[in-house]
Amino acid sequence: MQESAGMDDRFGALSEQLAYHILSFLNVDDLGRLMLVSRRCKSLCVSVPCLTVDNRNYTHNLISRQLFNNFVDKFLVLRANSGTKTRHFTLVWSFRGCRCDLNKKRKKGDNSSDVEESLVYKWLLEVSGAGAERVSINMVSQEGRPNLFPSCVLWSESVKDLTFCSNNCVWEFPRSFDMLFPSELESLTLQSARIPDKFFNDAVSELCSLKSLYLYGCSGLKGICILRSSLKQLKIINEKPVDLCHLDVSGLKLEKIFLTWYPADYSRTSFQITCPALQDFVWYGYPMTFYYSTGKWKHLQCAALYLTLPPGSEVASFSKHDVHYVLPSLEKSKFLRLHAETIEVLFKLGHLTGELDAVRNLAIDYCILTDDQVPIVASFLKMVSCLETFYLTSSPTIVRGSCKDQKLEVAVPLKGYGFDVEYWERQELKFVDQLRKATVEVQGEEGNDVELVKYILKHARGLEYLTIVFAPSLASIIPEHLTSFLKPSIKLNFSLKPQN
Amino acid sequence: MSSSGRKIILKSSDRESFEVDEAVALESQTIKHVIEDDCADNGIPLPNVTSKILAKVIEYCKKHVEAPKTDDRTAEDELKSWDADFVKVDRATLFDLILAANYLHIKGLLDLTCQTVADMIKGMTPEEIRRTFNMRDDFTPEEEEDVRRENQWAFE
Repeated sequence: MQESAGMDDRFGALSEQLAYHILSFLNVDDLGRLMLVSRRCKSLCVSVPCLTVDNRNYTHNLISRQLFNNFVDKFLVLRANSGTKTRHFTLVWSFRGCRCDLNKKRKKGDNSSDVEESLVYKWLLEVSGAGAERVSINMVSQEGRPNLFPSCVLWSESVKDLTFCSNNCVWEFPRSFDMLFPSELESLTLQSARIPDKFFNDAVSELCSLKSLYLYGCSGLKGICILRSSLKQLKIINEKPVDLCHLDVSGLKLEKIFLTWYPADYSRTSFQITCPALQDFVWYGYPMTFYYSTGKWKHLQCAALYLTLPPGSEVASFSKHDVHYVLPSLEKSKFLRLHAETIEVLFKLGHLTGELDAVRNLAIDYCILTDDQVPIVASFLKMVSCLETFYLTSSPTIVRGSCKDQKLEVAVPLKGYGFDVEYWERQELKFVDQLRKATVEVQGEEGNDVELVKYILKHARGLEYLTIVFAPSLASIIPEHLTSFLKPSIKLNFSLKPQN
Repeated sequence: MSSSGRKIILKSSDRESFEVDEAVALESQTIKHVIEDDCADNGIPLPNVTSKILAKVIEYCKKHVEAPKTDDRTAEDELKSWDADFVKVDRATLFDLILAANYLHIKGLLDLTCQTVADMIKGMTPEEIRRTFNMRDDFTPEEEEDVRRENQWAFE
């Protein structure tokens, strides 16, 4: 309080735009209090284009619910009467507890829960019809009831971006959206939604302007079949195993696909992509039968494959899956990131053939060069020949070069190693020919990885930057040991890997 | 990675010069445009920012440029904690930072500082807001009564 003595009204001096920015972080109840401060504050609260309505602090009893709901209703009317367009509308709403007694049978007239539901959907309808561009809804339904999808938002001529988080409540999709006009929606994000309907696929295809579709943690669907030709970006992210076992994605304009998909029943899966314009492809999952459109992905720029084996399974059980097409599909990619286990699986299934001569930047993550791994990695490196940058680390590579990964086990220092510089020389690898920049992690002062570093230093004639990553405990040993191999043209950098 | 880029000179309104790595300066979209238009050779004058505030802004940009862009939760939490400490300043400085972040187009800093002011407002009664921000109550008694009646619930 002392500080504000003598301080001007700094808030009052802010431009409208900056004041709105501050107000955009407030919930409607705070706006209700701020409105009482001064005329300007009232005017700002009524006209702020970004509005959040969050009822979670007012759900503890029916009276506070009612007071809050009434206030919000009147506030929205006040805004509408002032001609305010709510451009970004965020609704966080819990319907839990809005019925007085769940055990009693619903009598006629006991419709407090219906009243609240209709009120909330009325607000959505009004906001959608009055110029909203971005709508974000986070709902928890009443016990035993599904969340209803707000179709009114799709009818809007202005809403371009819709996010719906269902908090794992079952989410009811209408049979069809009964689109009166073509939908203007460009981006649809669904989170934590249990989608039991097979109508999802049809419903999505009715959204003819849709450019981006993001599904995070959505469950229930067994098959997703997207034949939407307007889609440019697709993200399906599920960290946990899911029921989804069939994915068929087709689109002439699809440029980016990000997929994190671990099917619970991985013996019966199918995965098909028909997207000739694909530029970015990221796939975290299990090895499975994979088809892509005939004709290479000519425009592919970046690809990442983290195909790992399901816990407790063996490579042999995947031999009947046709993972054969995976690597060749990435032929044209300039940036390639692979999980070391993916390389191992492909090696053991005999799929490390062909050339990836468009790859300029390669990162191999989760790789520790044990004697088992070296021939596998060497086999893979035969496929690349024109690399400019190369990363080999035991954790996901990060742009700035320092690695922090809590989940990784501490690597046991390797005693003795089987593959020295001469081994690498015998492989007649070409990947070092144009190499400019390399980052390699070493586990000790000697080992297969150190030998690889020596090989690179000896044979990469165009090398400009070399970064060695190692644990802090080796800080006194490694730098000294390796500088003897250095040439003056190479800038050597050391980066510490923090221990767990 | 060690810094291997150019240095840029930024000049505050009170004529102090600050030398920063180009990567740090590029956190500001405004400065980025100046650099791209090739007008940065003799240093970039920032007449709207004092040296005290510019030093803080540079501190923010340095921290955020060095932050690894990763999904690592602990790194994220650390950064959030650093940000929380960064905005523990007096109110005048906070508002100066808002204006600087806006002028220099540094989205992260603008969001952080505005969120901080919003967090102060949260949960405050109108009287508390007036006192904290030194705002004048300019409602007529009738107007005040009207608004208060509408928002009666807010005082439950």
